[in-house]
Amino acid sequence: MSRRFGLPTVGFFGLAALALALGACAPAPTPTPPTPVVIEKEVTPTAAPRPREFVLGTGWEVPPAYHGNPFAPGGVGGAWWFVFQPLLIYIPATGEALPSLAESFQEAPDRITFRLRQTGWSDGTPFTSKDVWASFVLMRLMWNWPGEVDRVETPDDRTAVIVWKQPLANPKALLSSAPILVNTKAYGKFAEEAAQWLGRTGPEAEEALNKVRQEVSNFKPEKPIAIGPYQVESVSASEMILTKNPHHYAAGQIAIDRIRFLRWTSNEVMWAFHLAGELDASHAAAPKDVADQILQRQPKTRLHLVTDLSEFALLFNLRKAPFNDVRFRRALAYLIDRDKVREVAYFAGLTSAPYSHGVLKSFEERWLGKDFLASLTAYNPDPAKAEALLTEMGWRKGPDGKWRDPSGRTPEFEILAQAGATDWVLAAEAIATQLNGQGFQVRARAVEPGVYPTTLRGGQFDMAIQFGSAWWGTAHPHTGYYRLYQGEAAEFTGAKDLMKTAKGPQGEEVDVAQALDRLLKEPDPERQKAIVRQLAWITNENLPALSLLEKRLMIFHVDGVRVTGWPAENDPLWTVAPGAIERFYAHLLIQGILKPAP
Amino acid sequence: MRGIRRVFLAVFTIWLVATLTFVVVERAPGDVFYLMAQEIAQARGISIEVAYAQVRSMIGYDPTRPLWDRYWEWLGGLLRGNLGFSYFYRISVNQILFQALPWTVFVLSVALLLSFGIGVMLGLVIAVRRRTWLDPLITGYASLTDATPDYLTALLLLILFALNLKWFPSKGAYDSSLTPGFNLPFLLSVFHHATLPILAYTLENLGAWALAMKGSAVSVLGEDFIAFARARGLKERRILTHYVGRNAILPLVTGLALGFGGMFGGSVLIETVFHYPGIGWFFKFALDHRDYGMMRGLLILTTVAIVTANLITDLVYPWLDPRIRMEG
Amino acid sequence: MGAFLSDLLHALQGNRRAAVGGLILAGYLLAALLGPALIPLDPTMKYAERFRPPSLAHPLGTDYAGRDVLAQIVHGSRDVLAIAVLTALFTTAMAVGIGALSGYSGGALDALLMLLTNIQLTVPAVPVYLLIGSVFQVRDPLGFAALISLWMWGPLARAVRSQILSLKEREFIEAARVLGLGTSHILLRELFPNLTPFVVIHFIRIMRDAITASVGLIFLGLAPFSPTNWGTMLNLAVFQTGAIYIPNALHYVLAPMAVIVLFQLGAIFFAHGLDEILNPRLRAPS
Repeated sequence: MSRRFGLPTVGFFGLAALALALGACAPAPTPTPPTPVVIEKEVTPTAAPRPREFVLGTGWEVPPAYHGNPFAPGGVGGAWWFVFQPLLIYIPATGEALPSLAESFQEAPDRITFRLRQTGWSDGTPFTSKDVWASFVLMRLMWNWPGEVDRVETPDDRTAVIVWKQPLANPKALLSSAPILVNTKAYGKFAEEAAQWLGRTGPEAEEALNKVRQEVSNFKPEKPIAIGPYQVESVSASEMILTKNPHHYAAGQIAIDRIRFLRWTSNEVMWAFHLAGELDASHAAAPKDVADQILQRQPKTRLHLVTDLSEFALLFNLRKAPFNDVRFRRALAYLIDRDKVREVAYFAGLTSAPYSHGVLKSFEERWLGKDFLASLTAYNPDPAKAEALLTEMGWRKGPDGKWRDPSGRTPEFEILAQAGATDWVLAAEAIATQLNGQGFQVRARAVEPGVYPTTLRGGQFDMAIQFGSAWWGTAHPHTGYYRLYQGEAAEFTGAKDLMKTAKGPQGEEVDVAQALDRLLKEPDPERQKAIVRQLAWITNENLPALSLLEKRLMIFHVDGVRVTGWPAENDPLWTVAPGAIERFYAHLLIQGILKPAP
Repeated sequence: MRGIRRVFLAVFTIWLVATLTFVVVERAPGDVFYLMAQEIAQARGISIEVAYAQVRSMIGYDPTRPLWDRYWEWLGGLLRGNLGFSYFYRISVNQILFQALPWTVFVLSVALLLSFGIGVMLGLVIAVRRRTWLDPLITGYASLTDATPDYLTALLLLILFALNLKWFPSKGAYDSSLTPGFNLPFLLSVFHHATLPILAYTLENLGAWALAMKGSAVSVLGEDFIAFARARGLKERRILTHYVGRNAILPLVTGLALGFGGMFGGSVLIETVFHYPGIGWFFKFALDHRDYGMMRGLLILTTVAIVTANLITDLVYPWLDPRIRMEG
Repeated sequence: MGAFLSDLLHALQGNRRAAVGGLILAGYLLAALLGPALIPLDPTMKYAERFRPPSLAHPLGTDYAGRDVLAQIVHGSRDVLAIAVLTALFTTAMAVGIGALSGYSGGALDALLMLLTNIQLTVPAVPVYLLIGSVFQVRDPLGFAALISLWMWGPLARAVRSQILSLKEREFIEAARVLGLGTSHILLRELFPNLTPFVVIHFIRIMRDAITASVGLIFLGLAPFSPTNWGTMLNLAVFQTGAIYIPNALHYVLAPMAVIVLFQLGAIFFAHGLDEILNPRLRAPS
């Protein structure tokens, strides 16, 4: 507690203490004028030494909705990555994987064989390969995920083999985001039942599967059964407390006794927690000045920026003129100063300029290389080039400085953004302002979050701010291009139907869906790069969306108050954080990297 | 007869509000689960498509059932005291209430009694001493607070006392490192956290109570029985408290009762500014997450509370005020 | 109406409080009408110039993106006042309609309308606004005014009804009725003119309440972005840009607060003064 007590506080505490003392009818001697020191003493009567704890912010369901079944609504909450643990941890920055719940693993083109650790669940049962099998069966039953897994083989208790349907480009990243969730003791019966029917079709199978799904959803243990380093001790509306899982293999090595989660309701609440020094780490996105305030007021706080594996982009509606003309999209790319957009919308981001090739900025050298990058069109702000493209399309600038389309009209455009997502709204506003200053009539409009995806999917927009290439889950360009050409973003822009084929770097005709499929199944890194370059070329030259910035997490972390030992600034471990930041914290604790501060 | 009519009106009001809110929420646009999917995608490191599938399979909400069925179920639930279902928390709104209500009731009842008590005293004083400096001061103060919306008062207090002077905490109901329970540090922390919200309400409403009391007291002062009491030679002080005060306060009691009824709605804006976890804060939370189910439940709760408070005042007031009983 | 206005101006000269209030309101009106033309809004974001304290170039300092706060306040006043005036128009129309109908007709219609009025007065407004506003996606001043007037007409309707009830008993109405004049004639020619001063005071009160409510709702984040609305400025300052945590950004929070309070004070003074002019009974016994 570093809070300074002001005079009124003293008076307040004095009065309150007096009132309570009187109420208790204690035969009190005449109270001496209270001073903060005296009150402090009164307030904490010989407090037991506080457990060595680590204070974080997260979200969870309020009891009594809270329960421990990861597959049923309301389960587990932010404790997820502390009570569950993946077989391995994938580090996006280096592409290597560290064994986690497995002590070692061997890769083959169609499978990974894991040697499991000797560790235990918090209910005392030992960890076996059957638990791995049950977890994957239930994930497939309840989430229909991960579709890449064909089956899990269990040759013996300590060996689990995950067999893919086909060779995969980056299978380790996938497994890194699929922790082991359930043991056979509690969930085995559901898994057995589901396994009989999974893969079969027809009404009978459908009915049987729905019945199991219902049973799983209705199973609500009070707390999660943990395989990870911590177990849930107590949950209330304002905090959730985890203590060590005594059966965990690293229990002796972990020096932090408990995790205390404060409720993360909104970023500004997290800022206030940081400003008051009550929090050890969070990734609450903050404007620069707020970040400066936090670092200044709590000098032991540090800020680390690490990729979120996603980017913000300006999506174009390819179904609609003039956005269906690539020249128009490129003209806009020359008119928008993307670094200025980053400054106001998300200063911690990495601007994507001058390219828009669908590979995240911090990965572009690794995947594309300097030489290839130089062969791409660079969209630096350049009004002259934009003007040339527009003129070529038949557009003319009128005497009022406004652009007129070939029919002589001055069209009005809208940039949509999701209401409440301030960074997106600010980006939309910044782009609109820039374009308005260059002869267009553009308005930014915020749309209700519930309606936003349906509006975009229905094609009722001109331009919109959304995630562009996002690599969550796999940390691989395939996921990003899938999103741009097949997934959600493609449904928004219309690229799913309108960009089935495109010209590659050598003028060759590329079937985008086929290229994606080849990329997914290609285990050889060099051949993967060739396909990625083809797709990067297509994306950069055709611009189904204009990448604005790579989103970076702002990880505020306090060193030397309650915990110490954070990784160094350039440690690739930080890149475990995106997508699941608690997985990163948990890994640091298991490895004994994070220790109690002296 | 009058009582029965009142009860009927109260029930009718609640029914109408329940029905209207049902219709409004049924009209709610778009996809309420998309926000949830976005959050899960980023927390678990999976793509939005997968997260969305997870949410859908988890929710088990079936919009294909006929409207009438859902309406009857909803009304039936209300009759059994079930305020409906929160889309976001996936629990009944009652359970959220159970947590939020104590905080709101605590802060508002303290603030209401404080502002009422102080306001009534000041009002009585300025009614009697109309030509002192106190009268214009309080009238001016009342105008000023009337001109300042409550959320601005709250914001000013927050900026001044919590963020700059740091005398009081800026958020929450108690220090999160303490164990909730009946122990001194916790109770002190609760009071410490509640000070600014209570202060915001009290400062905001003080002037209005004072003016209301002044008006009421001035009219009582003109009544015959006061002149009579004076003529009997009673002490001025006794006249003030026993005759003027008592009679002048009666009309204000209705307002106080309504205040107590109204407090179940909390104040969305003040609780939001202080992040105070009462009903109003949950309303803002529901707004941010477009949790229409929760909004609907909380709105109905507020309605029921106010209607009940109204009803009780209506029925009890005649017993308090003999004049009305005679007329009635 | 013209006669009423000239009477009013005359009376204003004698009542200082009303005059001050009137001047403040007129100032706001001018700012909304002419201000945007005089003080251009430059939306260019200059990141390096953010949160500059008040200076000659920026009398109210700059915002989180280095833009002039005064210009935003002035441009925002148009939106804010539009909502206030429209709300007051809608509300007054509804309230006078309902109140007059109720008071004039009596009987079952009166009972029904008063029941509705009671419900409006009972159910708290902010939750209603939030629920309806988010479901029906309010996004422009017109929609906002419609939303707010939906739940604000009760007090005036009730007051109009009781005025009508008392006017009904007066001689001139009796006379009109004896003369066999129609209902609409009696309402339009005889009753409404007598209500005018009273309605004007309420009109100002509703404008105040509309500003409080609309700014509060936008502050909470109900309506999507309209970048210069005072409520948006507060929302950005408190929830988004963290300006309340940054000591040298205080002007950005305080500026919209100050203009709201000043407007409210102006309206209160004006309404009070007007009340004193129109109801001589209230005049201070001096």
